[in-house]
Amino acid sequence: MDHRDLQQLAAGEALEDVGRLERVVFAVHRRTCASCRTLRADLDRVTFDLSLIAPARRPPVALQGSVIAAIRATAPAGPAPGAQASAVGDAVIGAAVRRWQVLGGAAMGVAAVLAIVAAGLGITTVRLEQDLQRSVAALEDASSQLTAQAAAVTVALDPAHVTVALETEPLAAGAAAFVVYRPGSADGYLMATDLPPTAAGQVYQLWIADAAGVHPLGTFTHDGDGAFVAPFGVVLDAATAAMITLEPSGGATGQPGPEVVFGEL
Amino acid sequence: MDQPDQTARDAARAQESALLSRIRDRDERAVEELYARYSGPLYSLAYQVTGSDRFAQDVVQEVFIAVWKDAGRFDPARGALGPWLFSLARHKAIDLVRRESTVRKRTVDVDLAFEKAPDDVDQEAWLRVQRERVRAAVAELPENQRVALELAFFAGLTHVEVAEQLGIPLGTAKTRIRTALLKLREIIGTSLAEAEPPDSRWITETSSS
Repeated sequence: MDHRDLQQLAAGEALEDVGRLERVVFAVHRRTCASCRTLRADLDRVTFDLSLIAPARRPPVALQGSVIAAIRATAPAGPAPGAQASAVGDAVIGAAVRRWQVLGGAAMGVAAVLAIVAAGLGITTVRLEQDLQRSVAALEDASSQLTAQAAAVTVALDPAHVTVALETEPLAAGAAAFVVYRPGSADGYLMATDLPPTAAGQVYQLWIADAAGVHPLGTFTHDGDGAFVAPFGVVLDAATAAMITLEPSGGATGQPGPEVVFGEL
Repeated sequence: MDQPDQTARDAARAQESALLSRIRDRDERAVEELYARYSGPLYSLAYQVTGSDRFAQDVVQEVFIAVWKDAGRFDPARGALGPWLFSLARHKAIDLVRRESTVRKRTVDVDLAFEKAPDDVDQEAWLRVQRERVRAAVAELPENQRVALELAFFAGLTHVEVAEQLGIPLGTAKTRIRTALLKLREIIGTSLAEAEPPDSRWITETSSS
């Protein structure tokens, strides 16, 4: 991976001229790259500076009245989770990373305390074991998500990679999703931004279709926070389509549930 | 004022937050205050991008409507209010330009680096110095990067259109534009957005031409 390519993406985004895939790749990358988060904020300031050197002009006096009249005629917007997430992208991403760090630290802390309690006092209870398992599972989820994101960005920047844009269904209106994979390998990922969070008791499930039929793959929860990356874990060369569906916890037991994103490969 | 003190910046940020809080509470006078502070530079930028008074007015109006409808979208953790408003304005102006080919034809010739603003605009020495600093930084860019950046930034051309305009491959255009912005970050150093005087009065001066 060439970090300069990612810095170029930051500049492209600051100039509001990046493709959807580039936007997703950069969104995924900056979750884990503090320097690129800083760079992106700095570039916003550079564009601000540039804006100020436009030759100064005075707006017509009547414009103020038009603006006030327009806002009087405009109802305030209700909460717009998608827009909110976009506007505060950096903060959200930073918060997500911090939360994972805290989560990781907390999980390790819980694990350590529980281990001491169990070893030192010889106390083992079902409750303690469950807490430990949940903490470890949360840590593993956070760790695997970070690993998947880094790996997906690496694949997306590989000149040999293949990219396929997926169509978002009404369940994921406003989202952007892509499949990126390296032909001849199992390095394939679904990358998305602005996917809605999965509700309690629900998961997203990956699927691929090939000449042999439709195959369910992994299931994932998503908190709606920033970019979403899911590894396919299979070679996609022979796949003809990929999709995400919304399923009950544990995944589909038969036919796929409602489609969230879909695309032919 | 290359190294403004943190207290002044904090005070300016607090003032902006208070203003937006009032807007969230549907206080029209707060919008008027925001308008007095930013309408000039926003209009100037929108005019530069669209090349049209009518479209520039539309852009300014849309920016203030967006703020009125959802002031909560501004996140002070990301930076000052000014950059956010300018980003909104530029985004809306570019949208307009890209929809309106007739506007496009009027805006492809951009020459900012050596253009002087009217004398009566920059009465405040501090602002004049800062703006000249940015102009000088732009002038330091290699010619091919500067031209590409100006077409992309001030004329609202897409990277594809910049490539066509300059007769260069798309990849080259992208690299020139993006590299120029990255270089400006290094050359400019402290941004005007950070080197903000306590009362933000300077930005109002740009609208007093």
